[in-house]
Amino acid sequence: MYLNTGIRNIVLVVAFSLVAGCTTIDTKPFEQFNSSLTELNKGATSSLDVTIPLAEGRYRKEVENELKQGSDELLQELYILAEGENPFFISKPPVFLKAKKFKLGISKTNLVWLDYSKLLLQLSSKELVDDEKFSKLSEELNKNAFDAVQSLKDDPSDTSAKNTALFSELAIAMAKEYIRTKQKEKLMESLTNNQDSISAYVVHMQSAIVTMAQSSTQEHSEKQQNLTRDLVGLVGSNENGKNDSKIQKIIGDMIDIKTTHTDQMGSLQALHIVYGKIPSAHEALATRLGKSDSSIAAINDLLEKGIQLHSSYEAKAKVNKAELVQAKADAASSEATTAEITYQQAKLKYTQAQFEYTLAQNALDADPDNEIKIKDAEDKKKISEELKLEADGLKEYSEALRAAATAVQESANEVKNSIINN
Amino acid sequence: MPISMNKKQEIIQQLLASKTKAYQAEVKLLLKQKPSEAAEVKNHGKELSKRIDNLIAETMSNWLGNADKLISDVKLINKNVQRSIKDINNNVNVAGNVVKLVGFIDDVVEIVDGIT
Repeated sequence: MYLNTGIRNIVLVVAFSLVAGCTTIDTKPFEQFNSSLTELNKGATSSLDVTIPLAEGRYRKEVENELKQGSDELLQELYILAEGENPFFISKPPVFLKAKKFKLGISKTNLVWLDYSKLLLQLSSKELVDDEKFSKLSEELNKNAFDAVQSLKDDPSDTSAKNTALFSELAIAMAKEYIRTKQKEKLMESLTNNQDSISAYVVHMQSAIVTMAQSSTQEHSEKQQNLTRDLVGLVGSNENGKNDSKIQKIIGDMIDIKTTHTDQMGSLQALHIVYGKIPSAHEALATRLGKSDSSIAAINDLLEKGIQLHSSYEAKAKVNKAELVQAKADAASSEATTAEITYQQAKLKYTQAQFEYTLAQNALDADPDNEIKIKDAEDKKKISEELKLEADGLKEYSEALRAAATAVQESANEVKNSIINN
Repeated sequence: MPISMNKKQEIIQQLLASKTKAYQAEVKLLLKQKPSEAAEVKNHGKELSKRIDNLIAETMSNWLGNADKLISDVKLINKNVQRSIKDINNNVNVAGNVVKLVGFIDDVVEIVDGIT
């Protein structure tokens, strides 16, 4: 594989080059560059987690709906199919499976950035790492870089890998020159020559984030539209407010979908912006190598945005979690209230029937041989007993729901307290 | 700062705009007690949504197309869709505009089918 061998060589070349001159290198910018990418990685991984479960849920539902209508078009995406010529053939998978692989690719690519910044940090350190450790680091970097490329694209060819390489051929040449001359400026030029590759890699990453955003909008809009259809249907058939609780539940779900989508778009856009800051930060590293008092503002900016991205997601996740558990508790309470009202209505019906039975029985007592009154009293007794059974059942059901709702609320309180305390 | 998108992403973005407009129209028709017209828009919108799924999946792999003309075609269709929705909303020739709307969605589906 071109990328594997190519990058391994380049990394080793750059590594040994840096070892030769790194004793005079200011490590602080490299440390900050590494910290920035660590924060970026944390934020990125968290912000990609929302869409895939939605896509899988939709796929499952749509497969079922299609099958009911006699079509297996979507189900075919789950079939294991063999192809005459290719023993490794995999048939077209559902979108959500593809998205899982894609997300994995983004995560792996973030790790490549981290590997890269760690390697630079190691090389800039006064405590030089030995050859063996360098080899290990460079191998890991190569492996992650290639895996990431493989995960982001289905094209396993060398061309695809070469196009997303992190180190340019020109930078390799300059690194070789640095090894030969041991001049720090050559190393700086090597990093500068690699700048275009870094920028190209960033464009590639930003493009992946755009696709994730589009996938998110597709899934959230599908979910929202299904809820809207249900909502309009329920509002249209809401005689005597019988659908009130369901209507409110759907509106609550729609609020959740809107909130989730808004949060995810915010996170993805922030991630897009942070990626865009990597080239300037990388450039500042190279400049700093050449001029010890040059500004590292671009690196600080990247670090700041990386931390913001991560902490903003953490904060949103906390708020979402608290809102989610409370919404569940509210829904459980609402369901229990509905059951209690139904029980009260049944109880009232039973009381009325019992009263009518008492009247019929009194009438019968006054005229015990009257066949009509005997029948009437028996019928009313039967109705009353049936309604009592129904009311007792509803009472039991509503009590069970209330107990469950209380338990859910207690558990929600615990979750909210733990969020506040942490 | 404008977000840079490649051609395939620009197309998907336009298609998402078409689809969400179609869904808006469907809800408006439901609220106007026109269930059969709403169902028709829904079915055509679902077809468009399937195409978007396919394109996103392909974007996640590798997908290339002759994009510029397609983007401008779909942009134009989106403008027409918006006009129809406005008319439906204002009770202007609702039946005729539903037919137009469904036709616009079919046009988009046809464009997508032509490139995949």
